[in-house]
Amino acid sequence: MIAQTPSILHLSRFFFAANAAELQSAYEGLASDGAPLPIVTDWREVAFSFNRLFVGPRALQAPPYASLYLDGDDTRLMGASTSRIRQLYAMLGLASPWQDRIPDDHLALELDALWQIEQALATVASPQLHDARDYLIGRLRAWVPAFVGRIQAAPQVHPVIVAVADALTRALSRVDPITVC
Amino acid sequence: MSKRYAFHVNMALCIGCDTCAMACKNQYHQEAGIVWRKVYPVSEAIYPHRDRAWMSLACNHCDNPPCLEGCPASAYTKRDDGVVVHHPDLCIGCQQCLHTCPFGVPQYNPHTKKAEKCSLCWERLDAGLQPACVQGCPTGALTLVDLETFDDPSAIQFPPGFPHLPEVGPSTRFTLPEQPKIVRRES
Amino acid sequence: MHESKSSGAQNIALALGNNLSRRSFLKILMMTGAAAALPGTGLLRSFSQEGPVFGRATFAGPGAYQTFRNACPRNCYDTCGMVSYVKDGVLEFVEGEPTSTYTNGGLCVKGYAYPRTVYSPDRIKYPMRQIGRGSGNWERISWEEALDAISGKILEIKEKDGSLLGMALTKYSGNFGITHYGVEGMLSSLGYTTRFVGTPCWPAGIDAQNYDMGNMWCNDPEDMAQSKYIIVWGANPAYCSVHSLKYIYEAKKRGAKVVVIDPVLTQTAVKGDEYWQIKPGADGALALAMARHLIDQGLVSREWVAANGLGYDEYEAYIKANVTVEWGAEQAGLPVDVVKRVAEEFAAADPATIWIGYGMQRHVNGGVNVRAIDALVAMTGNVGKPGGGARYGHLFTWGFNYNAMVQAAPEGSVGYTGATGPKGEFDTGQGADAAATYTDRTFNINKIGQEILDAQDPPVRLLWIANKNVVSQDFDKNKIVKAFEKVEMIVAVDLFFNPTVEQADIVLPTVTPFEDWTVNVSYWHYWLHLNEQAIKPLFETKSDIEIASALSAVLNAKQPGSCTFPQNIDAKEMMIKEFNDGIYQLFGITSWEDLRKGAAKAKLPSSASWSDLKFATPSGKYEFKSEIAQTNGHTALPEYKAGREAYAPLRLLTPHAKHGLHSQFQNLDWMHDLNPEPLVYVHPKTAGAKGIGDGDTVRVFNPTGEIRLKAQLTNNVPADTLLMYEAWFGAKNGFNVNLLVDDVSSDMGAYKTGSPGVAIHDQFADIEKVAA
Repeated sequence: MIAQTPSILHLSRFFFAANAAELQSAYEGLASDGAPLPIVTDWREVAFSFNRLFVGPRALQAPPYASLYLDGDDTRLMGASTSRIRQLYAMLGLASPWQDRIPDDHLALELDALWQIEQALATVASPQLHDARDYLIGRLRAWVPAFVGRIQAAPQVHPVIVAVADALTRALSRVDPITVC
Repeated sequence: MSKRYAFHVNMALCIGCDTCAMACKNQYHQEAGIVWRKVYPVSEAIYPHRDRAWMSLACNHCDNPPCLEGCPASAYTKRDDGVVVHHPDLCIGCQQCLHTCPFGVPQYNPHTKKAEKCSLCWERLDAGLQPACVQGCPTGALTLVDLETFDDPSAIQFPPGFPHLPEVGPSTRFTLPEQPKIVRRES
Repeated sequence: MHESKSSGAQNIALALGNNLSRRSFLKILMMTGAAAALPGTGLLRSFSQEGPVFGRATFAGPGAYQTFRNACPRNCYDTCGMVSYVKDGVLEFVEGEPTSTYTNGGLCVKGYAYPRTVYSPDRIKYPMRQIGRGSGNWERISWEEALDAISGKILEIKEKDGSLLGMALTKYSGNFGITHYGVEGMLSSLGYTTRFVGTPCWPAGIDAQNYDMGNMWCNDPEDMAQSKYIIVWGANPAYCSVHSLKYIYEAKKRGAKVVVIDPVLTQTAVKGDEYWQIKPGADGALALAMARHLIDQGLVSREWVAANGLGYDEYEAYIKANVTVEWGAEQAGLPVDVVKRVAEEFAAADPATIWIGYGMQRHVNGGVNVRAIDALVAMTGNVGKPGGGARYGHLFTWGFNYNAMVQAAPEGSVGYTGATGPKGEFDTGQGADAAATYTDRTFNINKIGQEILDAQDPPVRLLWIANKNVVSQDFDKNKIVKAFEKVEMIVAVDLFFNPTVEQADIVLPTVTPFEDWTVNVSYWHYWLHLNEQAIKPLFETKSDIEIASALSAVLNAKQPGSCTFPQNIDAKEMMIKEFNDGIYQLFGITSWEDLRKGAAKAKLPSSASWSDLKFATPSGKYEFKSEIAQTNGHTALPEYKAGREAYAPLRLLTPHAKHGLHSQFQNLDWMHDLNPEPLVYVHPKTAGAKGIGDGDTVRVFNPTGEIRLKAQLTNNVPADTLLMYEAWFGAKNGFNVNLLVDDVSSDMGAYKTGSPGVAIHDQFADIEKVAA
């Protein structure tokens, strides 16, 4: 179970990558976890596909923000569920440095929160952190499948990104509740 | 009843600009496909110029609201001031009200699994504000009136094209649109 | 939303939104050492202080929304003041400014869609570079990388050409906030460059009003309530100026008569007392005919024209010799008796006014047609009267410092040595030392395709596009795309991906009004609106002047002195620097901070322009006869000028839509709910003759290009006319009226704005059904 934790970290960094180099670095981290991932020859092509899916400038094929999947309203950023996850971070004594600029419910930030909780649970027993982990996993399971579905349905997606989306799905399905000692 | 709040839809002033529809969306951010206030074009059979006369409709806050009468969860209440409020926390999503309302006002939200409708911005009313749609209307075509004191001779309850249901008693009042003298080109 | 079913998760869900529970949760984490066990140095960081307070916002009381003052900076008569409601740093909804009698607390269908603009996941978020123009392959770059590439190109151009004339700017009305003239300022601060000057919008009418009265200056629109006779001539306020209608309604209530003259039975037309379906472009002939009738009936205000007019006698002589009421009525396609009757009614009413629309002057004879209509208002003594006037527009309240715009060229800059003129209707002559030998090179903003194709010594190498969606909105789209192939680097600053961004090499993400500091006025009403930054700029968006400032820093690091635009600006300070004593006095405020409480209205001695009848013409009179017009190649009098010859069977009109403002708003999905697709409106007779049914897909085509879309049958349009509303529906829909609209010039516009306008409504096309 603890072997899953680095995957969450690298998955987080993959979806937060600002350029081809960061994509590559996160991807190599994932590969070193033993995940079966294709070899990449041209990282620029991956970046083009990544931007079409998650960044822009065109309309996003698979926007990586929870509120667009959870709030079921008019699909805008900074919705009610964005506020809820920001509150969760606050309850943990955490905050995003990009607060108000990048929605708090960006996949990478939610995965980062999960990673931090798991790091903590590896060293302390805490029913509160346990509960927070349960909540966060439940939340991710509520929206990530739809997000992954958007990736799979999008035209011309780079196979690397499909593979990472699969890794994300596996990571979330394998994370079992940790029993509190 | 101390007041009887109602919408006055003055079609003579209405230009079909959709401001009221968007003001409501701006306030409540409804789900795509769910519209609480819609501006309908009046058919050419009634007003002979296509897309030039409009009927802005939300909830009619009826005297005898079928939604309230048929709701098994008591999720509707009619306030002292006439506003018929839908309470999402009590709603069980049975969709009965979708069938009982003759105006097609309540809509079902498959995401929240509840009905929803215009509740006349009751929270704004309680804060001394106008409903969002009324506040937004640039021509004064859509206003909030109190039927206890409303006294406009041009206002009628059942304009052509609107369901004639006096027993339900919709509170909305309408003033009919007018036509100009038209001088067409002698081509 | 059911996010988890475990009881632990439910504990969390319950605690969320309750400030006490949340804080006690964190306290426990801290006391048990669990909080310290969190790395705190991931993407999310630990914070030591109390943390924010969350909660559901209320309309009043301590939990209420934070409010800010904003303004809608789009190209619209109404330029609404807005109040934005913010909770926990998020814009929740907007309202109209309640303290402005004009905005009157409400916006419009477009303004209320702003929350969707701000938080659309499709906003351009980061600088991006397209690898292969038009390829759709975009890489994300940092601001440093973007400015490095752009500054590199700028220095390369200077090196290669010995000047920066190879860098060009096209910009117009995407954002009229005063600080956005910093884009022009940015170009000035780089040296002498190429500017696309003029305006597609209203130049012919501006020149016309300048010839007649010495300036374009309209009454306060709020005084239309006092009019006794209102002619709305070629304007559609029901679509384009919804806030004006209440004054027209008030006038009607007080007994005024309203006549609407338009080729189309518009939404405005059905709200008047009388509607005239005029032949497009025949407005001058009609005005001359009405004048003839007034002369014949002795209804001219002899006293007024004698005291205030120059050349009236010659005008009258021209009309008597050349114009009959019958001829003019026939040109317009209207019955003679109707024309005579309204002319008489207009002359008898006091005060009477004519609202001259911008659509009306988008013809090859648009300028002189405006002059003829101005003359009608003048010869009935209605200029300078509250409730009267020839209403077109004004720039009376625009006397800011233009601090962001006025920048000196760097020392040693080399530029163009030919003649120059004004650089647009807002050009006050500042920014260019009159004694300097160098100037910018100017091209016609309305013919950008042709100008780029023809440009040499140097060619246009770097094109900066801001506040304008050129490829969508400029004329003859196919020519523009072809011309762009010649340009080495195209930089577009924008909010959303659009056809212009598609042709760009670098796109820079910009801010909405809610993320910006600026100040706004209108070219129609007389109110002043502050625009405060209500929320932080999303992602890495920057305003136009922040971009200019950042570019300046990068350039000066590479080549000291290469850019004079202030580095490290504070956006709020730049807004404050636009204010001056003139503005304070005009609006009766002591500080810009007064505007935080609400809007301010100009203190005018009269609601009427020209109330003192001291015109700004050379003679100081209303010039029926204008020597300057003659010098500029027009007739001195407003004589009849024919319209454009038809080159296809049907006239094509492409006026402004109600659900969008040029290419903004219609692309939003909220707007698609109300207006899902573009249509061409066809008269049933015309459609029937071609076997076209309601809802059929048709092809509209002419030598410029073609469009395929659905047809809607209506006799709101005349049988010889096709009607389409110009708008951009978003990336999934290739609809663009400019595939059919060429760049033929209107008669006037060069005098005051640097370039003639475009005869947008002098276009012709044919239509046929497309096999399903």
